[in-house]
Amino acid sequence: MQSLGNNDEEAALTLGASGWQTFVKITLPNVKWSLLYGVLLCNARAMGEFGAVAVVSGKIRGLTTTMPLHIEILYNEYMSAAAFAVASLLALLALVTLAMKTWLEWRFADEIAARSGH
Amino acid sequence: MSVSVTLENVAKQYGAFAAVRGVSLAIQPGELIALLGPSGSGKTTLLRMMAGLEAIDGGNILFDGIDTSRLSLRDRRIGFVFQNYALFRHMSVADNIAFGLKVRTRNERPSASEISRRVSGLLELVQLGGLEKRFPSQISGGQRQRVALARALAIEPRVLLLDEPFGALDAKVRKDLRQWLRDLHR
Repeated sequence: MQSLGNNDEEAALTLGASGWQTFVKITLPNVKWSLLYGVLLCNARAMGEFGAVAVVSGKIRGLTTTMPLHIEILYNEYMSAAAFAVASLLALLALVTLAMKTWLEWRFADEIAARSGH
Repeated sequence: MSVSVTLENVAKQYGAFAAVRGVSLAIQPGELIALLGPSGSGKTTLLRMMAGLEAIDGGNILFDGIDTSRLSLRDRRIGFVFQNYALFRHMSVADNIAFGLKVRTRNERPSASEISRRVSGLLELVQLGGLEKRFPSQISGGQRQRVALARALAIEPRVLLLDEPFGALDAKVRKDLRQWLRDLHR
């Protein structure tokens, strides 16, 4: 947002837009792809969280576990089938995230091209 | 529709650096004024202060004798064409021009049909008929310049400020647009 500058916002203000209108109609649309990209990466990071959750939350099953922690719990209880099922699910989610990230990067590249052409 | 603009001892300070020092200027309604000076001499700062984008550190700016420091940006009703045009890149040409009308409060806003009528009128005026669905990245520099001008004119400004409006254009387009702007002003 800093690199975009506030030229567009200033233009909107001189045209009589309020601060809120400027934010919703100008600022948000300008950053929406970067914002979505950030949310996605953050989500991927959260999904794989292991150590911090284990130490801080006390890993109570069904309440404060993440998927990797859940896999560990199942594995330690010799429930291999369940552990592998959850692991496959996690791998699948990772693939979905990767696909979305690739798609976003592809979309985002268009936006960047449009921007530099501006 | 246009007003007289009076600057009284306007000053602007950026830290220790005096960007604008005691400028006084009286502009009559309907007058076309150009500010000349080397880069860094404060032309843009002066325009931005008149538009209300920059706070003034001293002096007064009056529109028709009314001190503008108490007016909001919206109430000043100024058309401002930026050096780099600052078109909204996620909006089509028509939406860019209509923006200033669409953001008005409900009781001041023209109807949707009135807005589209005015947008096509402005597109005709700046000779860009047929380009309303294009995006800013899909038109040339001279066309962007005219879109920026149409967008500023859409709000029926009392004062039109142009910050180096032809700086980014080649000599030929610049000459044409300058002539065109003079005709428009008349």
